Amino acid sequence: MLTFETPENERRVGDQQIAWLETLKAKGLVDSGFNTGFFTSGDSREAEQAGILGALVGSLMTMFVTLVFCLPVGVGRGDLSRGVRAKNRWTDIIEININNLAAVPSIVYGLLGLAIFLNFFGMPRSSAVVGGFVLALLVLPTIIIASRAALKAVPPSIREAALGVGASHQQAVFHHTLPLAMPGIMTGTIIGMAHALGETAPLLLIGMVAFIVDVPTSFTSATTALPVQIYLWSDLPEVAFQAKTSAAILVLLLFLFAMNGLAILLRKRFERRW
Amino acid sequence: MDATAVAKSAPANIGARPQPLGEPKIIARDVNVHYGEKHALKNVTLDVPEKAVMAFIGPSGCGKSTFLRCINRMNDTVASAKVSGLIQIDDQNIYDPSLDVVQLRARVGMVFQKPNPFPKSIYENVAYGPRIHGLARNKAELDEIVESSLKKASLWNEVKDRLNDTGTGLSGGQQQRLCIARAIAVSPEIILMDEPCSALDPIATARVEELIEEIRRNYTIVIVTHSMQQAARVSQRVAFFHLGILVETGETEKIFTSPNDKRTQDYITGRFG
Ligand SMILES: Nc1ncnc2c1ncn2[C@@H]1O[C@H](COP(=O)(O)OP(=O)(O)O)[C@@H](O)[C@H]1O
Ligand SMILES: [Mg+2]
Repeated sequence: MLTFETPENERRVGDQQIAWLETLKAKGLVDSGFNTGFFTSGDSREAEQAGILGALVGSLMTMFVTLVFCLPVGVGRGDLSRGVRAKNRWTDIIEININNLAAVPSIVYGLLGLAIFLNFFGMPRSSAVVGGFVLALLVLPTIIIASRAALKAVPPSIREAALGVGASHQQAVFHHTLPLAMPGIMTGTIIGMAHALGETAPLLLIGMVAFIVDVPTSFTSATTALPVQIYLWSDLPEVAFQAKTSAAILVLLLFLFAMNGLAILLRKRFERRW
Repeated sequence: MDATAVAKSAPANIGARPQPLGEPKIIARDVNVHYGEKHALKNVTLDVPEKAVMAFIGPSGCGKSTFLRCINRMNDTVASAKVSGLIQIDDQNIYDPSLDVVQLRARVGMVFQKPNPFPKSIYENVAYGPRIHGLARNKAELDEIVESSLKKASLWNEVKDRLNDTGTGLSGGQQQRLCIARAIAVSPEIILMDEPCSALDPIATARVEELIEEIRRNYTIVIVTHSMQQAARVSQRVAFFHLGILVETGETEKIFTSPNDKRTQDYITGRFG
């Protein structure tokens, strides 16, 4: 981390300080170890004190809002286009739009969020709830498409069997079709969530890019998110923030790996052949 | 009787006149089914006798399944299907808007062409119907229903030691008998079977036919089959469909020995179909 080739006047740590550090090291009073403070504190102007807890909590809150909003809508929408409901011009228009929405650049969703949630509805800037809604809109098409594929993969004969013994439409869906489609829906949802977790651009537009020291305590308090935190830190000149940036990237990647791994596991575990 | 009276009393369809054999359980009058533009079933008028087996035969695509699916209103689930005409079970119009379709389907069980057990345990397959209809007050009663249904479907001895194994792991013939047990478990009055043996080998077919023979005294059974031998073996009455028209109905013996209609004659002697 500390390079002695850099001239002293370009460093924050003077030669004298390095000498002190060396003596402390020699006495065994300083050593390098796991930095728990990184996970237990919020952002700071001082690289030494900056942590990712604020961003992590912000991300988790945002994801929570996204999930709560997405899953029922996604599954409902996925199921709606099947079964008894007649196909008409409206369902066709919605179908086309779902497929197209999946290809809209994410920054456009940020603009949409800014215009609708902040300016029109006057929801709190930089908050997890707005971030969650914007990301929900962003990943909804992905989840709908995945849910629909999973629901379609359940043979209609299962639904007919349920109806045949006198189950209502709802019972057939909730007792049979949906549970059988659940692994597929979960896989799609987790991948959608992983996508949302790594998404930065739309959050910049709704103000989640601010420098926020406090760990958010509610869905409406100002917060930032993990990828935005990385973006902010990567822009700072201090050498120590480079390390912080790398560490935050590792944390983000770890989450993404874990989520994708879980998705693969679910698919492998519950994959069913008919 | 003068000529006009005879003309009036003669039904549009000669074969549709009920023959003496039990009370009619199901009465169909001028049933028409359209799938969008396609007129799949034309003016079908037919009586199904109680506690007996009636077989629907005819070349494929002639509307046998379509008519069968009218009897438990399964066609309601097909968006393009439009059903008109009158179908009564025990003098009750089953297309009456105030009728509860769910209750109807509990009274009219169905066995499908391809065995379709739920991907759950054997026990759960049979217990599902009684459970959603609240037919058992406790676990013991449910166990009782499951056991007796499996016995009636002559599957009990083969599966009694592995009720928790998955139903889809059984052989094709066993799966179909499981589906019959599942239908029986809700105590239906009528059981509809749509080519129940077409996916089965001859031995499994023979077992299902034996089973039909055993249960026919207690249920009104309507079976669609493409096998004339099967119709001859299991049924007491036969209805012959051709191109969406009910050509002829009558006692099985009569249809197979001296049919009224030329088309029936051609079909059962294998000239088409
Ligand atoms: N869901 C459907 N949509 C459109 N047409 C159908 C549908 N089901 C059946 N048909 C048509 O109705 C006719 C009768 O079909 P079906 O009752 O299945 O014949 P069968 O069981 O006698 O072989 C066929 O011509 C078939 O193509
Ligand atoms: Mg058929």
